[in-house]
Amino acid sequence: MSDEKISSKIWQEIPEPDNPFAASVCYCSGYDVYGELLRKASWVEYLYLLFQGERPTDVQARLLEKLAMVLANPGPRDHSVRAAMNGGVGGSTNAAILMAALAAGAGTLGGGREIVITMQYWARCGRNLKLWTQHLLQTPRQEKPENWPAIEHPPGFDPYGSSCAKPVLDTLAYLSDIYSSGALAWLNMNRTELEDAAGSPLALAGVVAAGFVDLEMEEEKSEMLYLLLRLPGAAIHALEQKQYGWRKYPFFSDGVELLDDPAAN
Amino acid sequence: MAGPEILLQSEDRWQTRMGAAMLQERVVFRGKDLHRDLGDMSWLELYLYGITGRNFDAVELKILNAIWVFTSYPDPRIWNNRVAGLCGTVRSTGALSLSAACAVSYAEIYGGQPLIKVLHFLKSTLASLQHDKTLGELVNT
Repeated sequence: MSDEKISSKIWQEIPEPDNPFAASVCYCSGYDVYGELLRKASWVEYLYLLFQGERPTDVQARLLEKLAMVLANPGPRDHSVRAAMNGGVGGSTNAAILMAALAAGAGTLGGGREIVITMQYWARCGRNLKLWTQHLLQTPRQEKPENWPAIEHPPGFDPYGSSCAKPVLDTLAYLSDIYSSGALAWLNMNRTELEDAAGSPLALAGVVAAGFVDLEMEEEKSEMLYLLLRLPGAAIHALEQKQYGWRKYPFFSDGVELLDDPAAN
Repeated sequence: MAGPEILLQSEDRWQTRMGAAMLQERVVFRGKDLHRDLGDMSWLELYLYGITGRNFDAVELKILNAIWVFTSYPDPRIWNNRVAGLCGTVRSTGALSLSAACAVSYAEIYGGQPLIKVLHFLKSTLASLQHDKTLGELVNT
């Protein structure tokens, strides 16, 4: 067997006696997954353990579960679901469909990167309304060269919205009941002032980022969870549109306005 | 050989004819020194050599290049381009946008899957014609 090994604090495997490539027992942060957790823990409790390395409290488990429900289907208006549906109607493979959903759900407009940036604002501003207002009034700046394009709107707010959408209001109200002493509750209390400073209504990404702050989830872990927890809706909408077929999906045949047609000169 | 023994053979090594980089020394690309032997290739030539292991002559390269150029439709309505466009809209990275668009391009109604079916049809039809079948018989079945 090789001397080079993978190091991990979150996972330990004991090999099968007759096969070093198959695990006999798997421990997640010390808990036997298939011998113990499978019987005693819920999916969300296991997910929390996997990401945070410790058992969640009842409140933490409930908050993560409800965040997962909030995220489960962004709906057919969402870019990531639209990307998935385009894969579905074309008859692309299911793995490719999910790749499309991930790629179109990763950016700074409503995607995973917006969660990271919003949480960075939380780290800087905490529950200081004056600091938040100052930050939201400024054009976001990219401090150093990055793989990602710079965000172009106040993070956590909807640059194309006119008023705070009902699902956002309902979600914020409910989640801040679950966790009444943290970022969600503060956001709920100060929403209108923050929206005035941002010049835009609060977006669901803003609520979810506050939820991750209350779970004390690091930015990158939050981004990962945001990316993967939004996939179920993308998956099923894509499969549904695949059944309907491309002829029933908007094609916008007359929708292209070519601005530099050489035949026009 | 089956079972875990076969996995042990490649647990921590790759046996390959595809190449390797000996940093600060040289790079081998399919049995050739990349910089010394292949450095004058066009990108398309290298790409094709990498995939097939073959060198293509000037006429073949011209045809293949023309296929690539002539089928590069930048139309936002086509479903794989819409995926890329959506990724641009949400300010995802270029790499993610292109990867996702390429992945969905193996679609049933365009792209990879029809291409495979057409290739199969052409090859099997040619083989059947060489065994005294007629085109009419083959196309109508």
